[in-house]
Amino acid sequence: MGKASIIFIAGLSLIVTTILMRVGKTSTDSADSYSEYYGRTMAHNIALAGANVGTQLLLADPTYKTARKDSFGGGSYSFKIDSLNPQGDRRLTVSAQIRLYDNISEKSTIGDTVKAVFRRTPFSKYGYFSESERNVYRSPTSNTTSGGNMWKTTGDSIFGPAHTNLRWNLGGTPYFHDKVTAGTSPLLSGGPGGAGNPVYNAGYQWGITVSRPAARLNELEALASSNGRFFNGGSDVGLTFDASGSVRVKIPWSTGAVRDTVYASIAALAPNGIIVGKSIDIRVQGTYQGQATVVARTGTSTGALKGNVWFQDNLVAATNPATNPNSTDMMGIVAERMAYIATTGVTRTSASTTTVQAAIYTHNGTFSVENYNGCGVHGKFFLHGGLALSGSTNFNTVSGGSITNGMSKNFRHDSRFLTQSPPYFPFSDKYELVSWWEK
Amino acid sequence: MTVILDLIGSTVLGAFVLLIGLNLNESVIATADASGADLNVQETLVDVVGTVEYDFRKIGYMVNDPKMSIIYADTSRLRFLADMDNNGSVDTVEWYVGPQRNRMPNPRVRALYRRVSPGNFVTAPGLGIVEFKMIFRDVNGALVSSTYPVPSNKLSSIWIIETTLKVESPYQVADQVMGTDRMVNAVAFWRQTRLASRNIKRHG
Repeated sequence: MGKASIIFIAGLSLIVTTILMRVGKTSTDSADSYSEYYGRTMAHNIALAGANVGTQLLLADPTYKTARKDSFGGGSYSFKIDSLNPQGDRRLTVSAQIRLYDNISEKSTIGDTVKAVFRRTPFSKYGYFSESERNVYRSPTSNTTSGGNMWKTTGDSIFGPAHTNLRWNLGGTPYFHDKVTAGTSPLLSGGPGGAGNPVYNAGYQWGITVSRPAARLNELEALASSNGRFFNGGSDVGLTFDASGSVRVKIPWSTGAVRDTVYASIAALAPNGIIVGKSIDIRVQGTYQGQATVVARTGTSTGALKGNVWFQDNLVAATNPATNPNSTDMMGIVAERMAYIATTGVTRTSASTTTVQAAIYTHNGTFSVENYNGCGVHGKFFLHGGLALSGSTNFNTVSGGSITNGMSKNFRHDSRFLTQSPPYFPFSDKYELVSWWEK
Repeated sequence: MTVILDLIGSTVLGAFVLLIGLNLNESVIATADASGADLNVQETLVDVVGTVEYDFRKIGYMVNDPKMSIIYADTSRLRFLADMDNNGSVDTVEWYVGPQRNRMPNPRVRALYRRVSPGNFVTAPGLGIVEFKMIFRDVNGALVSSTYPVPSNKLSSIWIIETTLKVESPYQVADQVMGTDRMVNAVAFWRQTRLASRNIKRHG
């Protein structure tokens, strides 16, 4: 009996000990499971911290390129900044590591990665951008501007990011569908429409300025000279785009007496998509297929009144981006002086509609109807794209609630421009975040 | 007589020892069972949480207009856009919980589904989920909507997704705190109050 008891107790002890060891291991595994999750979370947070540091350095100083390594939160991170293309897009890659003790004795390292891509803020991304909310309309024959305050009032709606480098003048309840930014807080009194009570559908932020480097125009000219199409002086150029993809070039734009050539495609006319005219105006119309940026630059002497882009008629994409956001047709219009909707010699009625699908940039002037206060009624204008202007202006004159001159206007932002731009469309020196990838 | 007393005494003592041993054995096995169940639910939770975080952090990645990234949001179903595999093509990702699994000993258990299209590929990354709940907050931390699903005109206001996950074992095990007589389900719980994708708030 004594021996049997001893054997029984020894056997039982062995079984219990074995099971208890398993229980102990299960508990350890359980702790390991949380430990690993903690480690992953910490590594992720450290990578985020590094990414935030790198982001801030790059946003504060667009020339920043120095790789960096640092300790943080019990681990470490390192990041590098790569240039991605000639436009200056940058990629920030952050690697983080943290060491943990696994199963009491073994060390393990857990890492994480965050990648962010930045680009210089392209002006095509804005639904509406202005250097100032002042009237900078210039007639075709004079560079004089009134410079008076321009107001956004009840009934005005802006879709897409909206920015002005000075301040907004807001009366009544203008509507901003997307985020609004400005150099300083808005002026909300003293204008038409009563006290300003704007609707900021996606919030606002003041204290932001976005520079518009004139150097971008020089770069466009150089690109047009090297692998695009450069018209230097002479008569104004007419570009008529056809839905088949072809482009008809006429010089002068009205007669084609000097040149009247049809190119099979935008690429045949300008392989890199950049078409620049210097000291001349460019007149555009038609249905374009493909991508192009049309640029008109001012010159000296009599050329000081040149550098305008004129919309003679509709300028629309072959694949309508308003109904098909996957459309790859994309047009940029860049005018060093003004962008006009032509009215001289163009017959329109109050029922007429004119449509432009493009991102429009004017460096010194603005975008409006030619002679908007004396051209008669020219119907409705629809823009699907974006506006980046030196200043604002009117599109029409109104009497008794009816338009007596000019056009009514309807602007809609092309959401493709939030992440894409027409070829080499002007951009700021400032960087902005385009994508943020976390593991 | 002495021998008989020895035999009776040792039999009684032996029986006690045997009972103690069997009781100990039962107790240890119950503990092992409960620990195993705890480990299972914890590992399931950590796995599911890892996948949820991996996906939710990418909401809006490479989407043209990040404000349009979330296309459906309910308390237990979320559909959003993101280029999940970084191949330049935007995917539609959907997370949702299925109905309760009646054949399980634990009637509260549900399957959690993740569907990525194109392809409509559905995977069930977690079994044992009894709660998968989301609350949507705006830039100020306020609730985006008091009604669910979130109205489509408010989807673009979503800034933060507060996510709650609860996993239970499919069968009951001995309660480790109150004693072996009480049977409960092993439980693991996770709540992320600030889960937000940087992409959906990058523009402005």
